[in-house]
Amino acid sequence: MSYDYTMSQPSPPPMPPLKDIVRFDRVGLRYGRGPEVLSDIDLSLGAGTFNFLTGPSGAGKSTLLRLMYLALKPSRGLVSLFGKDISQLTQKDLNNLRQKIGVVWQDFSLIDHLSVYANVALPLRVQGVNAGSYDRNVRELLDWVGLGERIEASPRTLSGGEKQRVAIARAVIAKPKLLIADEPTGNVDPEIGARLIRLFGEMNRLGTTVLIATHDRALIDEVPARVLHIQDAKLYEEVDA
Amino acid sequence: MSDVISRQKAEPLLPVDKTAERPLWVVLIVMAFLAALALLSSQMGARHYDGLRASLSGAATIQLTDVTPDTRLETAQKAMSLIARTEPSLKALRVNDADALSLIEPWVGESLESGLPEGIALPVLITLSGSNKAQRNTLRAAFEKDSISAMIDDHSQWEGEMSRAAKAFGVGSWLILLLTFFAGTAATVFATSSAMAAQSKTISVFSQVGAPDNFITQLFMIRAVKIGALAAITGAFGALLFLGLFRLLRGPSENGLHMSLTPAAPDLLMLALLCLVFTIICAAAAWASARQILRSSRLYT
Repeated sequence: MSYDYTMSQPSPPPMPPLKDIVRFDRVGLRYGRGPEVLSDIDLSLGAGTFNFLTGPSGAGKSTLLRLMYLALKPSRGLVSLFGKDISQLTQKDLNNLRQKIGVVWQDFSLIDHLSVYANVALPLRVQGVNAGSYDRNVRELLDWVGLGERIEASPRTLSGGEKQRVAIARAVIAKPKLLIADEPTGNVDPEIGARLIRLFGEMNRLGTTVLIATHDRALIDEVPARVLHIQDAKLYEEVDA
Repeated sequence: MSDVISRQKAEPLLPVDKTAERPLWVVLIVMAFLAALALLSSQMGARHYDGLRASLSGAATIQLTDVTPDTRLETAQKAMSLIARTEPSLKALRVNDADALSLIEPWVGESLESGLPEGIALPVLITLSGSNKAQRNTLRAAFEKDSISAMIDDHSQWEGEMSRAAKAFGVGSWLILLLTFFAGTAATVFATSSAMAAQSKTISVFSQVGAPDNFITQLFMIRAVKIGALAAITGAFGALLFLGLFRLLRGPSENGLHMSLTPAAPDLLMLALLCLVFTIICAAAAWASARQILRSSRLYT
């Protein structure tokens, strides 16, 4: 299966939702002895759904995402990914799960000593994919996000918007089953932002579950998707009035 | 395809921080140098001891005591004839007076060009080669029976002391070798921990994209292999150079307690083995230390 980044080819029919890709049951998180920053979070993200996560700054959006991509461990409650209780998994299973998750970090988390190309190819390299087989995909994807001319550049030399696009390319290159993005359009101009959302939409249409944390109300209004709202350590679902 | 592979080679996932690695290089090269020197010394010392032991084996010196200038010739002839009669298979050779005098010289502590001090008689010395203990005992009994006052020195005491010294030298060399291995391990563990701390952000990204622990530990191990191997080869080469210079300064004398400083082919083989062991130790230390750090930072298992 390969993604059509240009969306010019006929696409296969969307995959029917199968099961919950992400499930949180009464999840709570506190740092040390402090108050709970997330409390009694119940959440399920079905396979192939498109979701937004909103909320004021400091409400816990990034924390919730970190729980989801296994960078944090809940203080209580149950977190299941791809139908598996993560507290019961071995390190090998967790690594395999991580390989199914694409993450766009708010701070981009690019590796400065690697070129744009190597940063984007990293998930495939880690998975042991043959270098020759992904070269074309990496170049095409970089072309698509408008960085085809900068594949040799170091992330240090890129603007914020360019870094963000590299981070997004890296998150999607391995065709993840779950894509988590923290403010992915925060630093890019509207045209590029729209393009990136189209990319997420295309991936979602092919079965990837997408969760995007954003402040951008216009973006949320533009894309028909489920909207989750986090405030005062609690998670709510927005419903149209 | 080859373009992609050469790109990967040109872009190692871990950066090479030459400034940060410099102290590790120095420590490992010094350790490898000391290890190589200890190994070479042990090899050369053992070989020298074997040579000395072989030259002493079966050799004995008979000293005819109780001789006067008037009787020395007659006593010597009687002794030679007795040896020929009793143990005809042994090779006996009388040491001429000049050589006997030069042997005594170090013990007297002064030049004997003008003869021996008053009261000291020049002994009659006969060297025996190819003798065994039983033959020497037979000769002792024969000398006693013929009333020839003689002392047979089979160098056993000297050989025993030499053996003990050689053993101590060997043990000391191996101990130094072991210590350098320990120090090399400690330096590598410290360097790996520092490198992992310095690269924590990179490692976290590797983990987040699903890199197994083995993938990450291998990156540090490969770097340790490169540094360990190059440091070991440099240190070994330095030790050979050092011995060469030392030999040049000391001169080529290779007799008595002065051992040969010329490495033999097995020494070079042992040095190659040392480089391999040193590299493996560095690799294992880096692997174990990286793995331990990754395990301790795990959230779930």
